[in-house]
Order: sequence, then C-alpha cells, then structure tokens
Amino acid sequence: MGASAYTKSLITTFVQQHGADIVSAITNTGLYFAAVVGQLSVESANGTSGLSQEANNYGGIKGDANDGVLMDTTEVQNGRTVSTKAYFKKYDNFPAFMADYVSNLTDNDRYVSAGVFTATSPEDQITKMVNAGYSTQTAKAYLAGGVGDRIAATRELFPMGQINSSATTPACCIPTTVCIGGIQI
Amino acid sequence: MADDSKKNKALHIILFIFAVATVVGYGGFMYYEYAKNKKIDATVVTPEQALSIIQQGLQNG
Repeated sequence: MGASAYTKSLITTFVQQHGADIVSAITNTGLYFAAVVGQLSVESANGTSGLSQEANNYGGIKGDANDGVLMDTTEVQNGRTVSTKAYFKKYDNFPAFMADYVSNLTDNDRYVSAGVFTATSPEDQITKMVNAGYSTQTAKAYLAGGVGDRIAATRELFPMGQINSSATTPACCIPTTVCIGGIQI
Repeated sequence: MADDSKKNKALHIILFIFAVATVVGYGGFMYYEYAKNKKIDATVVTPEQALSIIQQGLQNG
C-alpha cells in the first residue's frame, strides 16, 4: 500500500531542491511538512510548470496585472472544468514564494477559522484548506488528483509531522530511528 | 453422493477460513498503516531534527 517508486522519486527530487526552505518557512506555523510538500509538488508539476519556472510560483497563488504574470489555467466553475487565463503572482525566488504562501494561509481568517492549523493530519489539513477556498475543486478530487499520493510518499520518505522550534520529541522517539527498550540502535 | 457432499463441505470450510483470514489480514494491515501514519503525523520535530530526517530520507531514497 506504499507510494509508488515514481512518486517517491518525484518527492525525493522536490525535497532535495526545496526541503530546507520549506522547513524554514513552515516552522511554528502548524503546517505539516508532508501537506506542504505534497501540495506544492502537484501544484508546480514538481517544479516543471511554466508558472514555477517563470515566476517561482509553486502554489498557483493568484495575482493581478500589476504584480503578476498571465498564464493559462483550468478552473472548476459550476461543476465543470473550464480552460481560462488568470494572473498569478511572481516571486524573485523560492524562499520569497514560501514566505508569501505561508502568510497567505496564516494571515487569512478564512483558513484559520476553517481549522487548517488545528488539523490532525496532512490530509485533514489539505481538506480544510481546499474547503476554505484554496482550490475550486472539491477536497476529495484535489487529494485524489495526486496530492494524496504525494503526501503518502513524503510521509514514507521523511517521517515527521509539524515543525516547532521548541519541540520536545526526544531523538529516540522520531520514527526514523529504531528504539528497543528506549535505547536508540 | 455422500463422498461428494463431504468434499464440498470441506471445500466450503476451507473457502470460509480463507475468506476470514483475508478480511482479518487486510483489516490488520490497514490498521497497522493507520497507526503508523498517526504516529508519524503526531511527531513534532525541531527544524534541526527535520533537516536531519530530510538528509536521512535522501540518503535512503
């Protein structure tokens, strides 16, 4: 039931390129590492989409004519998927994108009141994010469209939940290490 | 006829045991995966620990 080798290789590449910046940006926010990696990996076609390459926008964050780039996109309107054009924000680099991605979520009461930051799992967090309006798709379709698989692969490869600068989890209890009787081996 | 009936009965018992074992085995595996994921999701780490997990994952991957 584990993630496929292909999905794992996509996640490995993505985390190799952006893992450290993601850790730095989501520390103390309540965002799950696997949720962010899974979502951004799909939204940016693992960093190969035109929007991520031309504008460093890995999350499909909308902009306007003043600060954005006009790109083709698909949206769900009245239950139908339609092709359209929209302005998306442009960033100087990946860390600048991450800072805006995180503040767009944490500073927005829509996401806070939807329970995004009190979610109990990455899947729950994405569901609440989508229900609060991150995507025009349903949460179920959004997860089934690849985000769910990439969350599973991220969890398998990089087993951790949220990141907090004052975390008290002893190194021995982190799932990557093997413990017998409290002794790390 | 009597022998066929016994054979059928034995076959039905084997099929029943196989079906129960499949359901229990699948259910057990799903529960194991659920419990494992729940434990991972509940693991809050420091940024330093996160970077170390990333390094370890990249080496293993």
